[in-house]
Amino acid sequence: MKKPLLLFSFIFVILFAITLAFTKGDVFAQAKKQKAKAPSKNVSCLSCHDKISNVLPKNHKPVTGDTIASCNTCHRPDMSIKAEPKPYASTIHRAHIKEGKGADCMICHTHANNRFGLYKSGVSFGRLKKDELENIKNIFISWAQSKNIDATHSKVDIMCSSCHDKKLPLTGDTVENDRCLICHGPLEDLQKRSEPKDFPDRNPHKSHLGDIACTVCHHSHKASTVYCLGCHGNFKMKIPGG
Amino acid sequence: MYLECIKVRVNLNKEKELKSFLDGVFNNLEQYGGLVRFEFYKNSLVPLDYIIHLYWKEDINITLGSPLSYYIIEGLQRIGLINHTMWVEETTIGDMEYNKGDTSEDTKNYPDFKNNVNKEETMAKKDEIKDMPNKITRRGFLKAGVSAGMLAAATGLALDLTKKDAEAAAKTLPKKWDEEIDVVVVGSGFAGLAAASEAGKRGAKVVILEKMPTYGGNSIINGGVYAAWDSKLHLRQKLNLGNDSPKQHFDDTLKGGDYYNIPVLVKNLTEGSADALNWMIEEGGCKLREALTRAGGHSAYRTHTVAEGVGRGFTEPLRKIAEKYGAKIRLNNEITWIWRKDTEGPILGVEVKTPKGKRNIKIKKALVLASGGFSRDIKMRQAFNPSVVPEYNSTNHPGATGECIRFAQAIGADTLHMAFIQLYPFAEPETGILDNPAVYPFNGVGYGLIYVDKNGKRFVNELERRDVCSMAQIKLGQKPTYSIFNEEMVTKMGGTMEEIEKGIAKGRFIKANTIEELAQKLKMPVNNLVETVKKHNQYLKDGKDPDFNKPITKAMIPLEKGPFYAVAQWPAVHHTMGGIRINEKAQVIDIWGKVIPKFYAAGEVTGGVHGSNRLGSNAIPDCVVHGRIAGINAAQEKA
Repeated sequence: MKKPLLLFSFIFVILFAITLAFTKGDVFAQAKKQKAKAPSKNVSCLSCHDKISNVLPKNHKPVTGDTIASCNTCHRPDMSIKAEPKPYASTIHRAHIKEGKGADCMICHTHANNRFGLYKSGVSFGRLKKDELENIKNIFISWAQSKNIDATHSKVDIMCSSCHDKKLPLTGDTVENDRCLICHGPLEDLQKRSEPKDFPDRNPHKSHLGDIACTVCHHSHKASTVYCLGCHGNFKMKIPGG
Repeated sequence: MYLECIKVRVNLNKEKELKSFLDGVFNNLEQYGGLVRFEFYKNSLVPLDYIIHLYWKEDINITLGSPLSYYIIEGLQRIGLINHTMWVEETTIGDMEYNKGDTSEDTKNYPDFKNNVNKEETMAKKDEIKDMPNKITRRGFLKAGVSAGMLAAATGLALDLTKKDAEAAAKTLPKKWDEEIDVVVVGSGFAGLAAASEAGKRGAKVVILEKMPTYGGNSIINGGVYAAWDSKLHLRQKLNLGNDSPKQHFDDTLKGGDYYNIPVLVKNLTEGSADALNWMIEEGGCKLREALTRAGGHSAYRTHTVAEGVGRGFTEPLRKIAEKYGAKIRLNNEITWIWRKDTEGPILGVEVKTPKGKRNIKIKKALVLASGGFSRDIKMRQAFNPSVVPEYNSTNHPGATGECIRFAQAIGADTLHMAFIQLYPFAEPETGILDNPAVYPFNGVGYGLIYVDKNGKRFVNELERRDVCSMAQIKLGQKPTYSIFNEEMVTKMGGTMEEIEKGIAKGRFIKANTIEELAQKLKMPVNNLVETVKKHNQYLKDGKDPDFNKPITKAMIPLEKGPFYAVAQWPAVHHTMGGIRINEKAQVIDIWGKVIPKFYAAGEVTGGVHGSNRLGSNAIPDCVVHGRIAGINAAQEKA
C-alpha cells in the first residue's frame, strides 16, 4: 500500500519542479494573489508591492521579511489611549485605504474568537463582533477620505483612540467634551476664538442651552449640523473642518 | 379550480400546537373529496400570521366555504386563534406565476395531496402571501375577525394603532426586558425635572429619557415668566402693586380659558404655584428679578421674571434638585412605544431608541409622561386645528412633535382640547423665535407699553389675552406690528438695560429719542404715531381707554419721556393647550374614564389645565406643580 503513494508523491514533486522551472516563479505570484483574496489570511506585502523598500520613507532602515510582522518588531502596536497623533499607524492605515476601493483589514489584522489583533504581534486590541468590525472598517474608510471631521483628524494623524479613549469604539459610542478639550481647549480660549465679531453673544460655544455636548453639532463620522439653526434659521453659521 | 384561503393569526406561544394540529388535518384529508392540495404558509413579516390554502377541484360554496375550513377554524379556536379571515377565489393553478426562488426557512410548504403538480410550481413567494396571483375572478369574504378589545385581553398584545393595516393592530410585548427602573420620566423640561426631583427625593430610582441631544426642551428656551399670587420674596407687597389671591388667579385662569378648563387642575396650579416657586428658590437656588408684571388676561401683578430672563433660570435649579436626588438624564433617548398588556392593567414599560439601539425598559413604579406639546408638528397641529396653517412660524424647539400623545392614545389614554392651539402674539417676525426682546411686549403692557400697526395706530386692548392679541394682528393683514415703550418701563417690567443694548445691537430693538424719530426709523406715518401716543397718554390720565376699553392702572406710565424703543412682533405657534387627560393626582385617564395604573403625565403634554387659551406665565407653574404631584405619587406606587 505504501509504495504507490510514495511513487505518486515523487511524480508530483517532479512535475511541480518542472512547472516551476518553466514559469520562473509565476506560480508563487499566482498563489499569493489567490491568498490575498481569502478572508482572515495574513499575506505578504509583496503580493501588491514589488519591493518593500519602494513604500518605505527615505532613510528607512532596510526591512527583512515580507509581512506586517516585519514592521511590528520596531513599530510596536501603539496601545496608548493618549489624545496624541500616531504618525506610523495613521500613515500605514491611510495608505491602505484606496479611494473608492475600500479596505481589507485582514491583510494585516487578525480576528479570531471575536478578538481583534495584529498579525504575529501578540497583541489584542479587544473584543469585536463581526458586524462591529465591519462598522469600524467603514469608519476607517470615512476617516481616510471623507469630508467629515474624522478625515480632518486623519490629516494630523489622529486615530480612533485619540478621541475614543477607553476601548475599541462600538456603534453609538460618543466622545465626552473633556476629551475634545484636551486639544481644542481650554473652553474659555475656544469661546474667545469662536466669538462672532458682529454679534458676540451668538457664540456657538457659549450656548444659552448651557453645557451642551460638543457632539450635538460636531459629528465625526457623518456631516456635522449646526444645532442653533433648528430655531435660529436666519443665523449664518457654518462648521469649519467638516 | 377554487382556492380557499384561511388567513389566521394565532397566539405566539401556541405555534407548536398549531403545527401539530395542521399535521393531523393533513394526514386525514382523504375524506374530503375534491381537495387537490393543502398548503400552509407562515408570514415571515408578521410572526403570528399564517395562511392556509385549500385547492378544490370541484365547485364549492363560494359564500359559505368548505366544511374542512370550518373544521380547521374550530380546531384552531381551541388552541389560541386570535383572528381569522376566509375567502374563496376562482383560480387556474396552471397560470399561477409563483416565484421559483428559494422558500424561506420559516415558510413551510406542505407536499401535494393528490394529483401531484410539479413541486417547483408550488413554491410560495417569500413574504408575499397577501399578493395573490392574477386570474382571480371571484372573491367572497366569509368571516372577519374578533374585536380589538378581545385581541388585547386574550393574547398579551399591546394595541398598536399606528400600523397601517388595521388587521395588524397588534404589537407583541417584549420577551425580555433590558433594564428595570422604578420611575421613568419622559422629557427633561420643567414638568419632567420636577417629577424626577420629587420621585427621587422619595427614594425611587429615576431615569429621565430625553430624545433631544440637549436637555430642557421648550422649557430651557421659554420666556422665564412665572405667575404666582405670592412667594417668599413678597414682591407684590414690597412694590406696592395691589392685592392678589389664589382665588383671583383661579378666576382669571378659568376666564382666560373660556371656562373650558378642568377646575381641579386649575386649583392645583393656582394654589400650588407659590409653594413651587419657593421650592425652586430654596432647594435649587433660583433667583428672581425685583419686578412683578401684570400680563395679558391677568387681573393682578403676579408675573415673576427669573433673573436670567429665560426659562433656563428655572430649568437649571430644577436639574440641580433632580440630580441631587439621584435622577439621571439620558440624552438622545427617544421612546418609541409604551408597553401595556391590556386595557385593565398597568403600564409595564417603554421601548426606547438609544444611540446603541433599541432597549426595552421595565417600569417598576410608574411612568411619568412630560414630553411637551406638538407645536412643531405641522401635520398634527393642522389635523386638529386647520386654521393653524403651515405658514405660521413656531416659538418651539424642533423636538415639540407630540408623538408621545399618540403612544399614550394607543394604549387607551384619553385626550381633550386638542384643537386649542395658542399663538404667541409677539414672536420675532422672521423666524418665529421667542428671543429675549420678544418677552418685552408681553411684560410691558401692565406699565403702559402699547402695540401699533404699520400705520402707527393701536389695534387692540394691550391687556387682552394672547388669542385676542394674535387674531387682532392677523386681521390687520400687515406684518409685522410693533410694541412701543420707553426707558422708564424697562426695569419695572422685569427687563434690564443690558438686554436692551444687546437687542439694539442685533437690530431687534429700535431706539429713538423722540416719537417722531422712532416713527421715521420704523418707516411709519409720523403724524399717526405721534397722534396715537398723545391720545394714549391722555387715556392714562383720564383712567379710561374709549378706543379699546383697556383697564387703566396707576402703574401705567405715559410715553412722554424718551428714549423710546420699538420691537417688531408677529404671532407664532406657541403652546398646545390640549393633550392627555389627567386627574387631580396627575394620573392619566383612559377613554372609559378610568385611571391607567402606574401612568402619570404633567405639563404641556396634558390637556385641560388652560382651557381654550393659556394665560401667559401660567405654563411654568402648571408644569412645576403638576410635575411635583406626578413625582410624589409615582414614587408611592408599589414596585
